[in-house]
Amino acid sequence: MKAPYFQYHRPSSIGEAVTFLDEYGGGARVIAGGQSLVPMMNMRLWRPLALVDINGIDELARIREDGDRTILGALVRYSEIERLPVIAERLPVLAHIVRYIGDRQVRNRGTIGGSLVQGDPTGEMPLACLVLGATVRVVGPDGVREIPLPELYESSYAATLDVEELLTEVVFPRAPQHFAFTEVTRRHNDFAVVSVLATGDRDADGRWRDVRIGLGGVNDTPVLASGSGAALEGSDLSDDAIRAAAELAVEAIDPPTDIRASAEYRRHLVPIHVRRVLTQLRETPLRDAPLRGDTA
Amino acid sequence: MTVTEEREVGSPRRRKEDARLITGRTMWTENVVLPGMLHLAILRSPVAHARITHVDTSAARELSGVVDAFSGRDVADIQGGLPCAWPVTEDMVHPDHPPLAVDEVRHVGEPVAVVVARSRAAALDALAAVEVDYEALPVVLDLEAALADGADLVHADKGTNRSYTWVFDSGEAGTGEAVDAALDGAEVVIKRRYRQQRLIPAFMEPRSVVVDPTGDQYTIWSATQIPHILRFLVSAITGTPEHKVRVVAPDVGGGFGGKLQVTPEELIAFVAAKRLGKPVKYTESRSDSLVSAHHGRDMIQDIELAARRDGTITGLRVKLLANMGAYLGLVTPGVPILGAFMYNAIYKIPAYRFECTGVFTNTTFTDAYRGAGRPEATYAIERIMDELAVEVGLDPVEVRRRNWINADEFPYTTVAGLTYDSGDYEAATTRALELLGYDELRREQAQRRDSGDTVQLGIGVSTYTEMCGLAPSRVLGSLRYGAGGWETASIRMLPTGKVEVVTGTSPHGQGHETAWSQIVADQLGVAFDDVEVLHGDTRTSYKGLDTYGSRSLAVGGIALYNACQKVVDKAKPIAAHMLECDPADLEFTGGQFRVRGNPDNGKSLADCALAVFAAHDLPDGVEPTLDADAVYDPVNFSFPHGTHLCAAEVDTQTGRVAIRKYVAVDDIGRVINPLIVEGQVHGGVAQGVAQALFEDAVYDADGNLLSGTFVDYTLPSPADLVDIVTDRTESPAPDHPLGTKGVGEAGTIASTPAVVNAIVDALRPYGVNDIQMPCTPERVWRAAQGGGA
Repeated sequence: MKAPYFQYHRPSSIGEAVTFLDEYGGGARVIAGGQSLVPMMNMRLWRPLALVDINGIDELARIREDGDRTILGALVRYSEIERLPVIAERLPVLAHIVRYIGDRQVRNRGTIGGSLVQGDPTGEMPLACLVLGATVRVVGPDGVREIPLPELYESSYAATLDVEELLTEVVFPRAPQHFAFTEVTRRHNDFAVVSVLATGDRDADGRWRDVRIGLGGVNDTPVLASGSGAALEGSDLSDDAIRAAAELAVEAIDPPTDIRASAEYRRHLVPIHVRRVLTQLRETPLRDAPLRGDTA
Repeated sequence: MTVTEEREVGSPRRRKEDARLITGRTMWTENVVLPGMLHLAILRSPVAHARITHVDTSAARELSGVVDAFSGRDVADIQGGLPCAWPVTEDMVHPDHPPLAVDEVRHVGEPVAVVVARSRAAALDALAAVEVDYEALPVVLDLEAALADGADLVHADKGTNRSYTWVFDSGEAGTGEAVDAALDGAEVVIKRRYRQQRLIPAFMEPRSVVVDPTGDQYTIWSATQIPHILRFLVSAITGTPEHKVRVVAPDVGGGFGGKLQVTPEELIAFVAAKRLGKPVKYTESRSDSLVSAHHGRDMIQDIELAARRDGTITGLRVKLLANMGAYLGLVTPGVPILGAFMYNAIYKIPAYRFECTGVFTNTTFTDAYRGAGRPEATYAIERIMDELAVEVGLDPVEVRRRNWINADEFPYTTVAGLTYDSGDYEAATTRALELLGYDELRREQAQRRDSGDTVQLGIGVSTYTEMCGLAPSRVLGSLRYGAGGWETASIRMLPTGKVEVVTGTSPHGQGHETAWSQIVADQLGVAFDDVEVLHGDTRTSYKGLDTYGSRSLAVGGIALYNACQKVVDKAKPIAAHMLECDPADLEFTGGQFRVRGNPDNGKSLADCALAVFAAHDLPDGVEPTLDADAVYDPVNFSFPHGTHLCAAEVDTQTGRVAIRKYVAVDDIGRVINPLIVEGQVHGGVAQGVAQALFEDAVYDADGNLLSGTFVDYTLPSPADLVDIVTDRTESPAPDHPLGTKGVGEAGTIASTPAVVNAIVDALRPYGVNDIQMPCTPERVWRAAQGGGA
């Protein structure tokens, strides 16, 4: 084994898992799909005292429909998001974006909860959850609390969960009718240099409502280009409107320089790709809406 | 020569070795498990240059499961030094290269101390308990700064960072005119500086070694390309008699030159096994591999091309700075020298001068990587040919046509002194242009330029040649290489007529078992499945020079062919005896000896094999065996060539490059197995495209390898590559009966300049005449902004 020595626990309930986490007082890590945790341990960059394996907690693997809301357990795998009809019907953005994550092996193991707790600023899943207005439920020794996505991260790879808390569910409101996504990567399914996800609804007059634009890879965390979205409220997404909104998007970003790209280049790319994604959004066909469980 | 039907050669046989290689159900070195085997872990330097002031392994030795721990100082007197087999000049500076650093570390990743334990995990855990104190020394990274007066030194005792300067001058060599005069009087002179970024070979199977000391015998399993060379050198370095050393290269998962090395890890494992008297295994992690297995390329190329206004080349001057890294590996200094003969490429150039200086830096040492010197040379000349085309206002194909060697001029002795055996550059180029739809794409390019399209189209041309079949021993001797270039093959005829072939080549993915079986099947008239090819174990294959430099088929294949002829010659008098005829009346076809004019009366080779096994009734004086050995020393290199064309779309707003079409027409002489050739071309092109667009081994200012994992060393996957349209033309090698030339490196050599030429061509209207590799979207975008890259 390449990882350093650690204790291993496999609880069968959420309560038991939280008890283990509490006992180690920050020394334990939760393992779900292990797609980020295990490599870090193998490279000996992380040396947790214990792993709390939540794969035996069946209730974390459930998908529930609750009116307009769709609730995904933390253990729902990327590959399930990719292929389950309920996701394609109710959260088509997730079904689409998940194909940009890793490769098939990664998607067979990786989980939505793991991805959100990992908090990779280039990650597709945190970006999608942010744009979709998701809220996560976490359980700790003091009970349950809900954290809206904009409050989930302090900075890169730093979720605001306490060390003894377990992310159990992700709650999605009704999905928007339209979406468009693009991602700039050095390689196929590599970490994003820049990613842009836009969603919105179009009313009977062709006016766009609640356009939300999320950007990945250009800040410590995925960010919403709120100014751009606001500028498009009620617009017809004309070329001019899109161009103006795209220029506003740079207000939301503070891009890093790394081995993949400089901050300057990322700053250059953001308005270009926001413009391209909004143009793509405008061209998407109208879906049947609103999405409800009984239409499945 | 025996006339035989050709049934197998030329057939796209599926590779007989693939089922076990692809499923992994085979013997890799990592799968070797021996009773009492211990595991070795290596502590590597975290700093690029430092004096080691203190190492303490005592705490590590106390840990559970740990059997031994030692530093370079502990084994300084017995560990020996790593070899460099290619002292390219008489006065080459060749610093000591201890497997474990003793007093000083000179690159990040250099081995410093070792833990041996009962499990791999225990050995790895104990590394953290080894204490090492370093006293920082200045870090040397920049090639030009390293050569300046008063520069900080990688090897202080050598007084210089210059390893050697090697010169070829056609005026002095008598192979052409003096280049200075050509450049001084030229109508056109184009001067460019190209940079070959550092690459990491990135073979699929990490390196692994097991050393088993049993009695006075040492058996070394290693994921190596060179079991025979390793045996010879381990014997020489450690003072172990050669017959007491057995090396086994079991199935090996790729090499690309990266396993053409005698590694520190192999010698460290040997030292540990000898010290403990127990078998020891070391298998590297990918992180270890990227920082410590030798790197490739890393050169600065200053190139000047003189020509007339009509595009005719009149002279070529090349000056290289080649990064050796911190030490000299097995053939490190010779890699750029192999390129010396290739800068003149397929062109008739009257005057040529090449000068290469090898420079030490505080980086992982460099050595052979697929193509080894030839891709670098081909890149520089094929890039500057496009610049010449622009300068004199010719199409890039036309400027090449005006300079290349014509088909009726072979054999042709070049300005670099090599004699090209055969070729037809016009034929390959014509076919490639057809397959690409060159004229149509040029029209589309013009339209996009006229309309100011934000996506521009470029077409890149690369008409390459290379030297394969390393190599005539006499030539290697004249280049001061430490070994010959012959190859061996043995045929063992089993009593039932089945055939065992022992080859001195050492395949690590090439498909020798299949191709060798095809050759033998035709020459001996036996079934493809009745041939077993044995390789890589010095106990069965005691002599050979292994696999690199596209030599296996071009040299080893001929040895095999010759061994087959010897078997037939031995069988003939036996068949004649059984048929009660004169051997001179026999002909051998389809595995049967038949009396001329009496086709119904025959004896097969299997009949002869059984007859020598029984040996009851052999002709007087005939030795009861059909087995035969052959050693072939080539009379010349072989010179495959071809034309690769790349059409690329470049998004001028984002710098994104999308290869739209890639055409490879290769002339590699006669082909044994077109399916294997196709695979070699695809893989080679993938690696060449990877250099053009993706891969870059980057060090920071302190000498830390930033691209130390596959997250940051951006090796492309199939999804990043393109469909490749392939075709072949065929100019058989004239120097031997198989007519084969070699294809292992062709794709890598040809493709890099084709891709970069396409990108530069797309951006010509933006004033771009070069982009530094890898052509990342950011660099391409900057170039399109006129900011240079």
